[in-house]
Amino acid sequence: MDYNEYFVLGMSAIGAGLAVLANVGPGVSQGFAAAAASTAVGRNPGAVSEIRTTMLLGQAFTETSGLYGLLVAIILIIVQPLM
Amino acid sequence: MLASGGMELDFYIEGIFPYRLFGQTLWITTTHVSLLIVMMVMLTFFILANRAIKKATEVPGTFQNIVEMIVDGLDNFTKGVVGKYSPSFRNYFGTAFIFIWISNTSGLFGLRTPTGDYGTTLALAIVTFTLINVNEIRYNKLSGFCKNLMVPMPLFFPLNLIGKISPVVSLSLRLFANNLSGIIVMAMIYGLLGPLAVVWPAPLHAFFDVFIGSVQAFVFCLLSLTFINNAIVGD
Repeated sequence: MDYNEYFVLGMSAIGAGLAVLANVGPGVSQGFAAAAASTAVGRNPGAVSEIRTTMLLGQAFTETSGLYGLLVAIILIIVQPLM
Repeated sequence: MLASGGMELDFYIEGIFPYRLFGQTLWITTTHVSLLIVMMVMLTFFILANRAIKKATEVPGTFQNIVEMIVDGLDNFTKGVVGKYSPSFRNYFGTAFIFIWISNTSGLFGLRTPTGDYGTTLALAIVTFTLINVNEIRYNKLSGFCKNLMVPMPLFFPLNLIGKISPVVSLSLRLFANNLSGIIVMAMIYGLLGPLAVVWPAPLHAFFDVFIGSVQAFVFCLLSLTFINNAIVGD
């Protein structure tokens, strides 16, 4: 019985680590968004503030999926629903 | 649990005293206390600002200048997103921005960040949800509202319904998770390194509390206004 609990705890930790891997996608896509914004500023330096707003909006949207992964990890470790 | 070797991570919301309401036991928590403090700070600032503007001079003094800059910036920010509809939204979103910003940065002063509690962010997101739908009905009439639920054909009604609810989930979870991650990283540094964490966490505070906090306050208001604008104009 005791060993089962340890097994579940360890597996939750592994699952939390895997869930945080969800942050790879948003990281890459935020990089793409920033690159596209720099290109846009290079082409049209007058529209800096609008480009910045648009970039922040897009990055905030992509960030959400990464944050869901983070939340799953936090819940797995702190709330421990599987125990 | 997490604490192996007697080290405690201190980022939980703590209950201060319980009370009973409709047969449920509810708690006054650290979030309420932090919210009260944030509210006091905001009220003090607003009363002082009101007094300064009432006695406004032609050549503004320092404080009047700051207040005018803040109000002007927030008004322009609202106008940049919703355009001619901005008079009905700038009051709420200016206040919401100031509230979220002070809440996010209050971690600097040792408070348990109020926006690191899902209750606060869910409440803010529900206000946004109400604003989106009320304004969609107000500007597009009830028929337009019902028609928007049926695009492109009536079969898509459940999907559109989910699309109505998803802004609440994503807005509230984004604000909550961003603040919670900052709180957990800072708690880990202070809890696990203990006496070693003396001066060098200051840049981390600047990043997690001030930078992330400002960006998220900005993003919350920007996304809310964008959703409202889409609901009014139709996308």
